[in-house]
Amino acid sequence: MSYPKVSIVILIYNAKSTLGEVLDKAIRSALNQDYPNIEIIVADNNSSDGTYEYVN
Amino acid sequence: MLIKNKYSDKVKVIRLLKNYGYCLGNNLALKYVSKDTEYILFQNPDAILAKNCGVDVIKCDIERDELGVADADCAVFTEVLEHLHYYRALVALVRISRALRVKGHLILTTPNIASLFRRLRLLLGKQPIYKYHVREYTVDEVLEMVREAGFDVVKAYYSIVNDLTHIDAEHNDYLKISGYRDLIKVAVKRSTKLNILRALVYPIVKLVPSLRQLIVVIGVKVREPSVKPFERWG
Repeated sequence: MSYPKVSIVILIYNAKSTLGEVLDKAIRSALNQDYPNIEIIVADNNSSDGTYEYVN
Repeated sequence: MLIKNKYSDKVKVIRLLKNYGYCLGNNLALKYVSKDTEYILFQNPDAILAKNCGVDVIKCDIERDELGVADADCAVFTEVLEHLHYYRALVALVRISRALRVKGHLILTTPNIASLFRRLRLLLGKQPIYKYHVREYTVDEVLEMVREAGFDVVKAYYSIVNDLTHIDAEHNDYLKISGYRDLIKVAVKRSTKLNILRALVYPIVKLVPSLRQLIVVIGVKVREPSVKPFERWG
């Protein structure tokens, strides 16, 4: 059975200060899908609180 | 702990050079999606944050489900209407109206099917509606639905933002676009039919707002919607 690729886009802005571990939970939630062929794009909307450094 | 270290190549992290807001930010992020991707899901971590803070998060299919609240202050319904089945568009607006308190506000945006760009595409024998949209509307159609759903229209206008930004450009060039001069530069650098058309059309839509691509409507709820959508639409 073939599984077409699904991309999950998570857009974040100043998420380090507001979301903290919730951001981690959001990414884990996306990763823990049963579906095997996924990729996750975490897009930082030019945060000013160090979010990009946190996830990168 | 750094997320990239935890998940390595399973997670691709990108940084946009400006804060583009939710809708355009998501659009820009699509430039980094793999070429073999067939489906895209947008996940909003704010919903998880809200839940953690004790805010009720409602997940629903607005074409099928009621929202289950009746006292919300404001509904931001941007770039959604065009993705709904046209039999369900009014249904969705009625459901939003029911979820708002009287005097609650609605902010709605949707593409203008009567835009110059759409008209030119049709003249060229092309489908004018964007391929992922079910239906697009004229401003009169939107206003009629908004009023039928129990709102008074506070303001309705055509925004020029999409005429400036819906072009085919390198990521870095795209991020620098802030005016017509930048649009011309992109069209010269990458002379696709789309970019040339955008560049030609822009001065006209700058002068004639009704030919712009984006409809913006702000409404205030003044009465409970009386329409019974399922009886009306079957």
